[in-house]
Amino acid sequence: MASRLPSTMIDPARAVPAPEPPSIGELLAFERLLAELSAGFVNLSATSVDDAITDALRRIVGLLDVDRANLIGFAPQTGETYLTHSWTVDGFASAALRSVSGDFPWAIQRLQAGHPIVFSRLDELPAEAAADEATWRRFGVKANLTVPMTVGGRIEGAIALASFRRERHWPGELVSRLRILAEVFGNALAYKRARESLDSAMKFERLVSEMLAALLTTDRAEDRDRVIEAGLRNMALFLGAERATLWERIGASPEFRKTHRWLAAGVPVPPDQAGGVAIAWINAQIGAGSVVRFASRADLPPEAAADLPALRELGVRSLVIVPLTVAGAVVRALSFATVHEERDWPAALVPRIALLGEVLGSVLARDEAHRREQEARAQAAHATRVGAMGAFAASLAHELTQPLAASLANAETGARLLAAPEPDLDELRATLADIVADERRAGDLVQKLRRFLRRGEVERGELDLREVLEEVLQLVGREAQARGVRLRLEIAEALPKVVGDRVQLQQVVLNLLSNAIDAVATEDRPAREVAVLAGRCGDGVSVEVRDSGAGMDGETLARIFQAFFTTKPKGMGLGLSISRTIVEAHGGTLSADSAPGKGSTFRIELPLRPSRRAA
Amino acid sequence: MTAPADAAGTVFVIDDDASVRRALERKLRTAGFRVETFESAQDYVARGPQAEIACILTDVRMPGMSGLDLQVSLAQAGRALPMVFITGHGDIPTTVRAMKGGAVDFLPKPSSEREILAAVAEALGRSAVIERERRELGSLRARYEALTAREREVLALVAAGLLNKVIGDRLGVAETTIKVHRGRVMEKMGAASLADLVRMSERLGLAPGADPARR
Repeated sequence: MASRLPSTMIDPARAVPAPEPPSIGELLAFERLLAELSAGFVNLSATSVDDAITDALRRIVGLLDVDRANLIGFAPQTGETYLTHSWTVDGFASAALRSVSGDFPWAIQRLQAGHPIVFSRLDELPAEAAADEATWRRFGVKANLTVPMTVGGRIEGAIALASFRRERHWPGELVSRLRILAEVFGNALAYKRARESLDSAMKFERLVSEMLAALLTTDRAEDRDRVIEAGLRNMALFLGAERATLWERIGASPEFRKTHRWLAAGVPVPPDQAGGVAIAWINAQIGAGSVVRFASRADLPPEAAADLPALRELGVRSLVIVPLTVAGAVVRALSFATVHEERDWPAALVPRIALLGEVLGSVLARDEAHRREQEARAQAAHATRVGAMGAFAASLAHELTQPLAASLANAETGARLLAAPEPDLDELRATLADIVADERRAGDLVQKLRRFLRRGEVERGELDLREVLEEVLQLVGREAQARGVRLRLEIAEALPKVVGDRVQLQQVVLNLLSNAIDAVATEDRPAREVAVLAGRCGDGVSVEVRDSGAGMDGETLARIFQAFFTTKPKGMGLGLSISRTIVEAHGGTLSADSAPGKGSTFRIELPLRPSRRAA
Repeated sequence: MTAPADAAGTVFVIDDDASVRRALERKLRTAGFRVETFESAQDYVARGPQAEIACILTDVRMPGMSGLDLQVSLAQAGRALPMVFITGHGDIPTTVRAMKGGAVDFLPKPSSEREILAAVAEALGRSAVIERERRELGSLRARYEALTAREREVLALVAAGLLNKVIGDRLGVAETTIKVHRGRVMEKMGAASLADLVRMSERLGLAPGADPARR
């Protein structure tokens, strides 16, 4: 019988005489156990696999009348051997679940080579197994059967049966059945590992996608900072880190500065280090696009020695830091650290952290681009606004001169009236009232101009369209008159207020009016008119600027909204393009309708409230 | 500032801006002028205001007819008045055009009271002179109209500097008859001397040597 065991080390001369082969009943019971376990393990959740295995071990102990059954695992990365599950009959102390690498050097080697360990008495063990024998003796083991556990063709552990109360024989059928049992266990463990890794990956993906969703629906910079900090916190908790930091590269320099950070409770705030952190080696690695990770400061290579003082000062025990690249350049870095104890950051984490970094990086880069675009747009808008106003400069100067001239005239008249022997007080009062009214009128105009020409932030507010349009008409009215153009304003009753930026919308109307005046002023006909019509349209409002000018052909009409397209000798060709951008930023549309000889109509349609993302 | 000597003058103020119109009206009225205001040049033309001594104070740049257009239009219609222009953005060509058209002054906007009143006073002074001359010419014409045909002939020849004898020969009458005619002409025209009579005939546009009777 012993000869049927592969590579057995049992000396047949010393073998305990086989008492009896296992009964049919015993074998049937074992078959039933196998079948039940195989079926039962399939529907288990990852967390209940451990309990199921321990329970199976208990049943084996009972069925085979042994005193203890153990499941042993070989950790592939560390090479350690752990006792992962164990069951002991009543009356004996339970086994501690711990590393047993040092206790069974000979046996582990044999098992990893695919051989079972079978002995009926301790003195069957060969001389090489002296250390192992001492351990078994210490634990009180009198007989033992251990078979390797194979998962997907790889030996990942073993199942061990031990007898404390007596020496005993292990039938060959039992050994082969135990191997099958080991396979069932192995599959269950593999399943558990896969589930765990899947769960963890899914949890991670969920965290990242939640954060991304939060970032994409957050407009305000402060809110965004909070979302990022919350994201760092969730990731740090998920990864078991005590400190999570998002870094931004300082210009083109090799150094980084912190932009967002999360600290676990009880983790001290690291001292802020002026002029960046003195970790030149780490910075160089990150700058070159490499990941830096160490479980302990002692793991750092000698070249990194200069970084140690700063790391010590920051209290970093272990660290993983991943560079984030945008268009091939490292612009940010994301780091997770522990400060209380050392810990390993498996390489498998790096792609996840990089994914997280990519999400953060792209959102932040998008913000940055958005901000730059806004700035450029505001500048262009301001330039065209100033340009547009420049065309009206002479008229506006005249408009401003009128009240000033009137009030100067009145002031001097007043002084003369006062100097009379019996001043005419009624006349004086009227004079002063006129002065006040004219000064107010001049002040209003200056204020409107200043507001219009200001290079300012976009300010959203509720606007009365009538007020907005009347102000623009006042600004251009003089010029229109001087050029013989009549302006007609028609506003529907009870027009609802719109939400928008007054100056920007006025700029659009001014631009359209200015174009319309140009279009009709060159016409040689008596009735030169530009009409501004405001009314409701659907859920919003519309403003139309209609001229009776020469109109445009289809080719011109198709190009008027393009930047730098102009039909005017001194035009920049930005007016309509910027106007359209402004209207669209308000969630509206700007369209044109024209035909040669039929004049042109420009139509602005605005929703009452622009969408959230609109700039 | 005291009221001008000839406070009977009327100032026609034309400005499209109500405030300015009001302020100018008040200033001139309280300074002793009669004032009428118009909100546009067309308004002025349409209303065709009358006053013996008057001037126009107008903005140059106005919607519709400008101050310069008005100046030309009134000159063509023979209704010219001394004009004072005010402008917020005077350029040299505009100024030159206005002054050539007979503008009394060209004031910037705003201008001081002293400048405005001085310009208006000068314009009215000019209007008064024109008016006086117009009246004188009218009475001169009336006296001339009262002369007989023969007397007009004699006046023209006397004014041309011819002697009685030569005139008698030319008209085919005796020298003594010419002497009588000449005395009647001097008397009817109210001329104190020969030189006075010559000046009168010049004002009446009787060219020396010309024969008004043959015109």
